[in-house]
Amino acid sequence: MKNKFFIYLMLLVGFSACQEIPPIVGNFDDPIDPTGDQQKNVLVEEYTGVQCVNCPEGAAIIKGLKQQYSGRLIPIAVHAGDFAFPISESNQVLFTGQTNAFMNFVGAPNFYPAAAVDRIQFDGQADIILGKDDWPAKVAGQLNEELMVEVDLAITYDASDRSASVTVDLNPIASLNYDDLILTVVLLEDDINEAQVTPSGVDVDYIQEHVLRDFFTPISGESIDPLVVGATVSRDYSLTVSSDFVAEHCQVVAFLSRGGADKQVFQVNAEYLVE
Amino acid sequence: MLPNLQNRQKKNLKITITMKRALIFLLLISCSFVGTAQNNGGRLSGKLHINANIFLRDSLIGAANTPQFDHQFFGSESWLNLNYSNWGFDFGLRFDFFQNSNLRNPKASFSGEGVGMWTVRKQVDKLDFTLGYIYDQVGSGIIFRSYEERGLPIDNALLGVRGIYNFNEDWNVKVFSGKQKQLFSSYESLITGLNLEGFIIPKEDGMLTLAPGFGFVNRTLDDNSMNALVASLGDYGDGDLFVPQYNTYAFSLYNTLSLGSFNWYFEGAYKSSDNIVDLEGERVSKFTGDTIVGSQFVLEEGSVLFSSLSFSKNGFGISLEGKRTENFSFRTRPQESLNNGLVNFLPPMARTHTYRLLARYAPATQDKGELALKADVRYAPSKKMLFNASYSHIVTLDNAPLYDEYYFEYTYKPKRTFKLTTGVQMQKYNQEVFEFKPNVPIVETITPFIDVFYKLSKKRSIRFEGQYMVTGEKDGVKHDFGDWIYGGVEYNFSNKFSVSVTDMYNVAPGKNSPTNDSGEKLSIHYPRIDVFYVTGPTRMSIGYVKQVQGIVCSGGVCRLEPAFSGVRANLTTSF
Repeated sequence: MKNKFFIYLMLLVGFSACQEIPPIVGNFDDPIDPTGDQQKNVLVEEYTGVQCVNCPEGAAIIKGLKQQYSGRLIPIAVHAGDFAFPISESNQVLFTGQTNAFMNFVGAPNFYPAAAVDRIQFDGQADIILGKDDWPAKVAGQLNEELMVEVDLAITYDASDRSASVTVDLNPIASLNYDDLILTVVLLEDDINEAQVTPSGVDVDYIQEHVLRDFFTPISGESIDPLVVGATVSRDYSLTVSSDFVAEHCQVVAFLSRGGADKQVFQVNAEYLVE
Repeated sequence: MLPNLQNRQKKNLKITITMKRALIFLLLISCSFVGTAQNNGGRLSGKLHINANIFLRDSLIGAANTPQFDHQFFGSESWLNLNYSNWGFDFGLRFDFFQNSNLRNPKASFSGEGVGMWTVRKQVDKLDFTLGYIYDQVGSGIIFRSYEERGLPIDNALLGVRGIYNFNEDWNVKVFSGKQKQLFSSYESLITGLNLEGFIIPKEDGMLTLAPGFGFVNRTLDDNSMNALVASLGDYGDGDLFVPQYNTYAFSLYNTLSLGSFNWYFEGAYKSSDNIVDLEGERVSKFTGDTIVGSQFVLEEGSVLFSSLSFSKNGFGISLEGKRTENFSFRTRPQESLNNGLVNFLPPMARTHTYRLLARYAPATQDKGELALKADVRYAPSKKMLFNASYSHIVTLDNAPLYDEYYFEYTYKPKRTFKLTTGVQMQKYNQEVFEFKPNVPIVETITPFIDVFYKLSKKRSIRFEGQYMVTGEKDGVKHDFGDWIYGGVEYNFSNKFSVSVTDMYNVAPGKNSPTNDSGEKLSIHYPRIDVFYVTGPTRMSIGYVKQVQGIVCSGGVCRLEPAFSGVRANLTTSF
């Protein structure tokens, strides 16, 4: 009898000890205040395609994160790979040889939607490329990283000949003594009405956002010498904006990163072509 | 110090430690060679497996736009296993080499090498313990299975410890604990399990035997994975939000009953509340107010009931299998998809085929929920003839059709020098669910096949194989890639040397077949020529391969099974 009582007692104690203390969820009511000096922004390069049925969900997650972090998240939708080939309902091709080469430079995903967050291979991940369920945490983590360099953009756009010029200033806050620094400057376009495969079929009214359209720099970026605190580095670029793009929907994104095996992005910034 | 820098330093430290461990292990083995030379007690064995590819760009079939096809042109994967036994210990070590490899990711190039596996095993009286990378399973694998399947590729060994205590010849208990392997590192979640197995003969002289078992597995989510999950849930509205669980417990009870020619296996498994992904989810974004359709985290309990019944006597054999699955996705972390982070293995319920066209539409197990039945009947009226018929039927828990297959096969072997195998397969394959392609019709196929083997002399033989797949139509367009014809001849010059020539031809292109610039569907040949050489334990092959590509979607994400054009060489040997 004593033995039975002891066993019951042990079971009771054991099961009550198994009650886990849960994590706190859903406390994201207050987005980060975007005002003030330049803060660490986060680059999310999303690999997508009009044939990718799960990619609208990925885009919706990025839209939510962008809303949550009030512009400190800067996404680039890279239409590349086999899911990016146009479908019969397509009006234009978002996929180009350049976008494919850009994807291969970072590392092509084996599933879609996928994204690189600041081009970092995080601890516990086998790759730079992350599945959509890992984006929110990695973005939140990167936003808390220390800002090493400010990236400022000054843009001029001449509508008469559709020429765009951009001056990118790199203001180091900490020394970046790397010999593989690269600066990449690209042109994105928002609000493109282009057919997309969705779980319920082809949506011909789908709006594609922040689509990678063109490059001011080479695809693999322009080499930058190691940065020293206080020594601002400026670079000027220009291109002619294709008449296929709506200039008012275009933005210029510039980011400084490493360009070797380690491709970490230190800072990214974006400005619209037309204010 | 910056967290990322810290992470990288930690990673480098881990790699250094791993390499140090490998060196220590090699030193141990080297020392043991000296020992062996002295006491002749050691035994070394091994296995080598090399795959090498030469990539030849062919943009028409999609073999292009990857680093291998664009500029690398050569890639390989190699695995070297070494096993050494001495002093009552068993040591195992495997080196993995990847050079410009597209095995892990068909669209990218991966190079890396390291210790893929190491293990030390020792038996002390009734206790058998193993330290290192452990491959094992509980029951049929429904609650736990760690295994290596290089072609997929899956290698989810458990890095940890395992002890097996044999109470007597019939009963043993096994306990294990560790972290799941992730290429050359490991996931952080902890997996712990227990497995009790026995063997009972109720009556000494009776034919009845029982082999009962009980399994238990616990997975404790690591903090990083939980933080990632909590961050994702941050965008969930109140109606969809839940409190995620660190711990999930899975239980399994199983038994094999044998009575003469009669065998009955039953397994029932239950999994406590787990953070899993519902691929058909629909939720409202807290931040944008948009409705998001697609995969969604949910907290669900899971269950599986699986049973197989078989009987064979006097040339007649029948087997029946049934399985009911509900919410039984079990991964080391819920963010993993495809073949990554799988803790368990759900037995497939469709017939496994080796013929090329018959294997083209294979249904993936639906861990969200499915009800599956399989029946297989064999009858051999004489030694010369064998009839085989099988039927597979898989539906969702809401009774929506997923997969149906009827299969008939006849084998005729009138003498040792001749064998004929022929038959037909009929399939209905829910491509919308298995490949996540919205609004596509259920692919219907009828595929007759024939296989003729003729032995020309003691060493020389020839084999011919042919299949023709007819697919259904919707609005005048053939389903998927349409109709295929496949033919092949294999000639064995001797016991050592053989040549195989095959071709797969898209004879009537379908909706998804490649098109030319003017939009016309193309009929493309996919030829393959292989030369095989076998000598002792060594097998070598080299061949020219053109392989059609396919897209496979699972777990809410999609993976491309790549088109390939080029030369493939393979070598396996053991010593």
